[in-house]
Amino acid sequence: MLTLDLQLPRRGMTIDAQFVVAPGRTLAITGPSGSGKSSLLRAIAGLERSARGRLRVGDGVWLDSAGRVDMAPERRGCGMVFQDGALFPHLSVWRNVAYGLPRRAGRERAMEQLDQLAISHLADARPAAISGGERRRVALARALAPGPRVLLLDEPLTGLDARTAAATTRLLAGVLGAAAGPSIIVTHDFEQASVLADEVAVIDAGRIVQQGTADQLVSAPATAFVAELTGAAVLRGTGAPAGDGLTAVTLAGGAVVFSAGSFSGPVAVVVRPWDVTLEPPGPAGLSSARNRLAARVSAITPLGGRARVALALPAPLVAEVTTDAVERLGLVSGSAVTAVWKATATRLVPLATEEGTT
Amino acid sequence: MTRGGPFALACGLLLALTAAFLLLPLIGILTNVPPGELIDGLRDPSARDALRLSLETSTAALLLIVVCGTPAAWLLATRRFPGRGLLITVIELPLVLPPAVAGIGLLAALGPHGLLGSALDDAGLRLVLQTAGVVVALTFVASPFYIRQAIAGFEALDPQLLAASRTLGAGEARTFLRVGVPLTRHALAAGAALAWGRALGEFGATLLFAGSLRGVTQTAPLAIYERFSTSFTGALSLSVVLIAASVAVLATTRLATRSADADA
Repeated sequence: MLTLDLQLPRRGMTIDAQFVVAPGRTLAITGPSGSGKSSLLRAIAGLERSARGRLRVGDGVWLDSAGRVDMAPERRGCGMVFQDGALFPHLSVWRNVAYGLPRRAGRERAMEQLDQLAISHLADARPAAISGGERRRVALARALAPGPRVLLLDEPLTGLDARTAAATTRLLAGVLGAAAGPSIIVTHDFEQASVLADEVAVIDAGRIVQQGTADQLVSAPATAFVAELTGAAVLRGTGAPAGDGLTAVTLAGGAVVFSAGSFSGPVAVVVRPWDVTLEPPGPAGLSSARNRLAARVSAITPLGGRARVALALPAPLVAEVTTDAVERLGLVSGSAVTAVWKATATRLVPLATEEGTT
Repeated sequence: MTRGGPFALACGLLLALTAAFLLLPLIGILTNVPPGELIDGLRDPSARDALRLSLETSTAALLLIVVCGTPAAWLLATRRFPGRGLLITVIELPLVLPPAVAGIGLLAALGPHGLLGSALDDAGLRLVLQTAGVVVALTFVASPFYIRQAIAGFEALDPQLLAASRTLGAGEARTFLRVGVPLTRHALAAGAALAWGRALGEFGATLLFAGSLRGVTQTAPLAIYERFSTSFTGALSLSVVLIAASVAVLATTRLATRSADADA
């Protein structure tokens, strides 16, 4: 069990985080760059001298400012995978992996670890001579070899091409599933976080704004920021009660959208891409969907069998549809469409509350 | 000259001029000494003593500088603390200090009537007019050349690599030895070559602090000066040998750095 209550002064802000990670479980910390997520990871590893607060792992106290405990990084036993791998360039792959091992068992144990990650053929190569994906695997092997108490991964997939990222994701999922201790992964990508972790903590400007399963964050984002991070579109406007348990929200450009719930004042309407249907422009038939907005397609991004269609409105809206639908509707950049979604498929996040929590 | 404009042409001319100016004295020495006299000059036992003493004292000074200076440079490069800038200035001071002032300063500090003179005397340590005094003078004058390079080298290290080493269970000492020093070897070798070259040519501080006793404190540059007043060719032949030694040092460092590059 890893229990953390930590304060870390940074330029212009103080990172202030509390969380608990159970053995065998994985927590993802996600947020924009500069939000303090990597610094938090470094503080857990003992690499930030200015960290204050408390950190316990199992029976061990790693940090207790009140009790003047601040364990050196070499005694904490964290397996840390750095963003770019941070492999020692002057050592061969197997010597990198054996670096944290006792000298006698070093080579044998390192080869075992390389074998487990299917990279034993790289053992004698220099880090400069192997690919980016291979370097991540070697970094992972090096972190795992000494049998760490806690596994810390800093942006383990950033900078990899799509295929390598997919393969590395599978590998990481296996490693994290087999890890006996708590694991923490830092990523700016919510999808990666939801695939690899049991819980996701969203950090913004040094504070954790929401923590829960990926499903919880998608279905009930605490703030517009969390909603945006999970991939949902956030339309800002002013809400007014419209009867029938609906709120009419007037957007900045004058368009009005309806959302379930009753609210008045500044508000964000959260619309998830997979709840938005695209239709050809023109009058609608009878429909239960309350929201119909004319829009133009500004970009189409394929995602496997699906496509994200970005729509130009006063506020950006995104629809996620099948590639088949893109073809049937003949969508290209500039196409006129009508975006349709139900009032019940949206969520209202009062903007005033958000100011209070961030 | 298809790409170069007038600026490139001017740079090329000035480069040629600079190189010619720097090479001219060497060419002068080499063309002035007939081979026979060169060998006669080296047969002179006082010349051999001076060369041996130069090699011994400069090597001893270099060892002292590397052993003490490397960890000192590590601390200055990896920490930020109040007074750090001042410390670096103090370390670099001998670079701008006239060697004669360095010699006087060493006398005032470590000489028989100096600041620590009686303490050294009680400990049975005598430096003035002793070979050990030469080593002290060379160390004082040459150390900034090495330490500056070492600080720059350690500062250029990727801090992630040092952090990775720590999380893998290596304390700071092991991180220094297994990651810091191997990855800085080029800068350290270049610094050591500069310091060694400076020590080999040291004149003023040695003369004032240790004197010019043949076989005891008379290094090659001092011997050259002494011969200069009696025999110009004698001074020339000793100079040739010093040139050869300096070129050998430069070439060795170059080669060592290059083969290490090919290695990595």
